[in-house]
Amino acid sequence: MKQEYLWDKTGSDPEIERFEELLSGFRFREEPAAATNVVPFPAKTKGSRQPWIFAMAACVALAVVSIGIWNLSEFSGEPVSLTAIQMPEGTRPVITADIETPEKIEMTPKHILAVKKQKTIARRKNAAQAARLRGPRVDPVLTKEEKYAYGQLMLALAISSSKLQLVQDSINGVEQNDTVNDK
Amino acid sequence: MAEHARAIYLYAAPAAAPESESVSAEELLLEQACAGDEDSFNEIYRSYAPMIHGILLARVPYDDVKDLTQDVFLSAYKNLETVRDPKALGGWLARIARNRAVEHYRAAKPGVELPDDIRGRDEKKTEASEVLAAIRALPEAYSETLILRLVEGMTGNEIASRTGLTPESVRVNLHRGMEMLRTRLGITGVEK
Repeated sequence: MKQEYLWDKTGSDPEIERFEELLSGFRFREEPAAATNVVPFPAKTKGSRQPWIFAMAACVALAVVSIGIWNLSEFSGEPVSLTAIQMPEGTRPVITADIETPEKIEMTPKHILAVKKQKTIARRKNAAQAARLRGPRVDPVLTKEEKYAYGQLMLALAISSSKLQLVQDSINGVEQNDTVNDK
Repeated sequence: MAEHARAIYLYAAPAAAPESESVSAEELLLEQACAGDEDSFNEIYRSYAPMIHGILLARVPYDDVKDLTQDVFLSAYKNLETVRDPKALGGWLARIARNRAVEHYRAAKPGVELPDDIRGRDEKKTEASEVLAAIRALPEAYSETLILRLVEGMTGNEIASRTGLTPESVRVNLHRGMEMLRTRLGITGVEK
């Protein structure tokens, strides 16, 4: 019978009962609070993070970045003066941006190409320097939602930068036209 | 080493599970827990936590057992989808617990255990610590089974169904383990 107490607690065995009593202090006990409402780990629900939160965050970030880029392009460097060109009566006045440069140079296609090349080289140098400062690239581990938000942000940035490029091109075009007209 | 060789550590084949009803209930629980049902996972936690606690207690200091039990369930929660056979859930959890105990010792800084005869300690607690230490010193299969029986209060059948061991090997481990424990406690002079 003693053997059975060890197996399924039927009957009695004073020695084993004493061991049980001695060792009961080491027994697993649920926390009092957890006993009524055990939530040991956060709920594992698929798609519990709302995608719209990320979309909103992306929009806010986009707005901030856009404003920053706009301010930089508009107010950095030389002052920009806006002048109204006197037009013949009956025609709509055209407002154009006349960017004052330190020295007026003739903008031939060769000049434009040279300036563009210089800008490209400088940009590459800056990028290389920044990469050196950053050190080796460590790809972050992103969740599915974070990847989605990142993609959305990148898309928005690409759109905004293309728009800004269009604006800049149109300003440059007007400036070039003005230079040609002045001549 | 001979003791280790004699330790029976056979795992039950899925067909040897004690009750088909409990197996189907486990299957359902696992399925629901995998689908993200919080209550089902809590039910698994309640059912298996004493077993995990006992397995860890056989290997690591008592003070670390509670945290490690949580770690085991956290790890299980993350990888619950990888359990293909619900009948193997207990064995899978037990394996996580054993691995976690090994990792704990790898990562742990060398510490100094307090002596059992420290002044002011309760005599009963001291004796309990001695008995626990004697059980821990037994071969792994015996110590684990004895702790599940004597500390966690599980019956032989419960130990078999939770750990995935066959009832026969649990029975053998219990009896041989008790014999060895008596011998060890007799050597160390603890009053029986």
